[in-house]
Amino acid sequence: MPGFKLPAIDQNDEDWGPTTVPEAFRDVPFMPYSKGDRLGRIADFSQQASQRGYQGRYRDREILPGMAVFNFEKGEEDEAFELVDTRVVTYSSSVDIRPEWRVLGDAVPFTSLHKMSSRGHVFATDELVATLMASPRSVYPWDMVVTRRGDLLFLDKRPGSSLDYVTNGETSPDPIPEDRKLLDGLQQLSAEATAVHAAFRAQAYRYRRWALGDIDLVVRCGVDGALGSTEGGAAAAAAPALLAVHAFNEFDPKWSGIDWRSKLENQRGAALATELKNNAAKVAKWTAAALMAGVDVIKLGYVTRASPKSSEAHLLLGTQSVKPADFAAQMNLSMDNAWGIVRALLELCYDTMEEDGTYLLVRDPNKPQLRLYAVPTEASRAKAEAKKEAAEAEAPEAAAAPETPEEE
Amino acid sequence: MASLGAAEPAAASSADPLQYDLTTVVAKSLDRHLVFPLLEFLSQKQLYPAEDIESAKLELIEKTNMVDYAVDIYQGLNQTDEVPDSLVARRQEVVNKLRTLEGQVKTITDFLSNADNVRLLKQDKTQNQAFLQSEFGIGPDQVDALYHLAKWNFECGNYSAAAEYLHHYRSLSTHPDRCVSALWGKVAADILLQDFEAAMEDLLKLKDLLDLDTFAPVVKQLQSRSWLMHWSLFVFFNHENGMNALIDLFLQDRYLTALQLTGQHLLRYLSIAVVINKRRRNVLKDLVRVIQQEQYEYRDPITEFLRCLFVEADFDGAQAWLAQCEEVLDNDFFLVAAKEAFMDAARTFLFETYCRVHQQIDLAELAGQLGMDREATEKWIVNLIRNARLNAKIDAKAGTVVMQTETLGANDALLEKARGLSVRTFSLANTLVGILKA
Repeated sequence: MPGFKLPAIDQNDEDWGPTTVPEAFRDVPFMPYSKGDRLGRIADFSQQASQRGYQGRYRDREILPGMAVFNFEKGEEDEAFELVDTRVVTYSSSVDIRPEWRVLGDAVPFTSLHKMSSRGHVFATDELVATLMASPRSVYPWDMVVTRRGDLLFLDKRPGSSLDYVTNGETSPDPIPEDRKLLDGLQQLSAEATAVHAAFRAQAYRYRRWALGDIDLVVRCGVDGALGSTEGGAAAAAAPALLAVHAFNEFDPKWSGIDWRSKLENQRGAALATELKNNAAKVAKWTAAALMAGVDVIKLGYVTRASPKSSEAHLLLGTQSVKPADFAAQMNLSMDNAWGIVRALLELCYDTMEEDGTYLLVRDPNKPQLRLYAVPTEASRAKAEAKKEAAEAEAPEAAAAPETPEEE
Repeated sequence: MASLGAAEPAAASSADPLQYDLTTVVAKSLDRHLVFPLLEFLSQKQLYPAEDIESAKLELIEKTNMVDYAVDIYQGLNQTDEVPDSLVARRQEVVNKLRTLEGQVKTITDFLSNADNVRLLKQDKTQNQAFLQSEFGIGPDQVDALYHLAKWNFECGNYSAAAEYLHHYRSLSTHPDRCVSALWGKVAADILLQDFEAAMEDLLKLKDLLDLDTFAPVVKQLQSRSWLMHWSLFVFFNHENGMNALIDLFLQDRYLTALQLTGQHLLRYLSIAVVINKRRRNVLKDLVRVIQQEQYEYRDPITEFLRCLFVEADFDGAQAWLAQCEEVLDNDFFLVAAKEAFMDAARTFLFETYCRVHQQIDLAELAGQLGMDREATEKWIVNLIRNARLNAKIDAKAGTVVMQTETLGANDALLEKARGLSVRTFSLANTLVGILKA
């Protein structure tokens, strides 16, 4: 009869459960694998653990916890180290940064904008101020011209600036590539969204004035319409509700995952939530602008392509009205923070700028930060000429009378 | 006419009954206390020399607090009435520690012994903590002491007290690691108390906790899963729905990986569960694939039986291995109760597969193989045919079972194909229209 020898039993003095690890896997890098897999697959430790729609060969593979060990995460402290293939879409700058431009102050990282809480008069449009307010949410590059004349500060767009365009899909988890050849590339979608947007609204202006500490800010705000009550009674006599009108546009139902044609009827909330996610910067700008203009209602239109393959023809599927203040709360947009950003940036302008000069505030194409450049006189002169040409080509906007919103 | 030969394959001959004993392998992944039932079983079976088992028990017990039991074994082993001094001193130490701990947790045990008090506790543990601290002066120290008291009681073999303390500890503690550990302890205590309902519940809770903890080192996760599978054997083979639960657990990707990497011997238990559980035939293919993959790491009569039957289609081999299975199951702590069910199901498997590949089977010969008389065999076959939905008839006059094969006539085959074609054409045309429209 063979003898019996007790094997080594795990001794756990204080607790219960295993205290050791399997001998074969001690002190070696280890990732669980299935023995049925091919060797190449087992050895492929490096796939991105968090990438949705991973395009590699082993797409069906379950993301296993151990993989994270083998994935390089670029840390903030490691500036010199750059992962070659990060699968992150990069964008080119919205303006060609000239070497002779002088950088003013430090770059303003967006993280610092969240923490913010003078002297002179500032003039701007709601679009530009809203851009500043929503800048922490922006992804695409943009820039604006800041001109100082003594105590006066003017915020302006360059002609053909990216701010002239309404973006689409800016903050979606699936970044839109910047490729002029694609139907659904960044520029194409922006051009389409702008055209749709323009067709959907018509503007009048009202000028409003704010005091930000010792800065006096005058903003030209756009109002897209007014809604009078058709019913009689006291309500009809009251002032008509002012409207801001904006359009969401859908370019490919498959891309967003929500097909408006089928979902808009019953799941409007889901459609709106998806837009808030994919276009956080755009919607934040609209809302900030609406709050500045003091409109009562934002009317949102849902515009889709007649055919996903063509960006020419569109259909309006439905509209929705939201109250700006409620909408801001819904997307977690704090106007206190927004005004704080504006004030801080304007104070920065006053602090760093000389009495007379032209400057450019540029949103870094790929890092969440702003930079302020001083543009030398040659460049600014050339710019002024270009601006004059552009101004001649465009209809003079200033013709619209203040405080007289158009009736819808 | 095919026959079921009984020739022993070379590999299966001269079997050593202990060759397939997994006790020592399984014990490595068990709590010290859970090894006792295994040793107890071995000594009943008298497979090993009695003194070997007794000294193994003593070795096992020396590190626990079950001093009285250790004394018994010591006296039995050495044929003496003496009690060694070390054990006397140890006994005193154990009792003292127990008293100290009991003193420390008195406030808690007093609190818990009143059902009205327990009802005051809420779901939110942090809220409870503040409440206990302010109202009853019960702080984290006392809660910790409760844990140590549970462990100490467990080591003394006082499993019901341990289970109760652990239950309360889990409802009060916010310590994440200790909560997992306490659940391990609770499962062990449930098993040792043979409360398999509670054990099943706690086991699944523990599994959920382990599955959630994806930030633990990967190797540690692997080990935890392997241990969980080992511990689960106690529960699954004693619980009504155990076979289903075992298949569910073991065939989950993460657990199957753990099984294949560190616990190939667990294949035996998985195989048994799959064979016995007739409703889970769909997992048979997966099981056979794993058995094939692990053939180089692990094989025993059970896995070899399945491999011969479903991979090699070697009926003689399968039958020979099946004969050995009986002994293996008989000597396996977990499987001894499942022996009849397994042998029955395995035989059914064997003959079902056999019937599928043969046209005619002689009843008399079959009866001989099964060790049954002709009439019983005939009944058995009729049942089998009905349950396995085989298309077969019994030719009573010739004394044979005739398997009917289903073949379509040329005309029918052509019609079948043509019908498929029209459906395909339709869908192709539809796709084309869709493309043209777009």
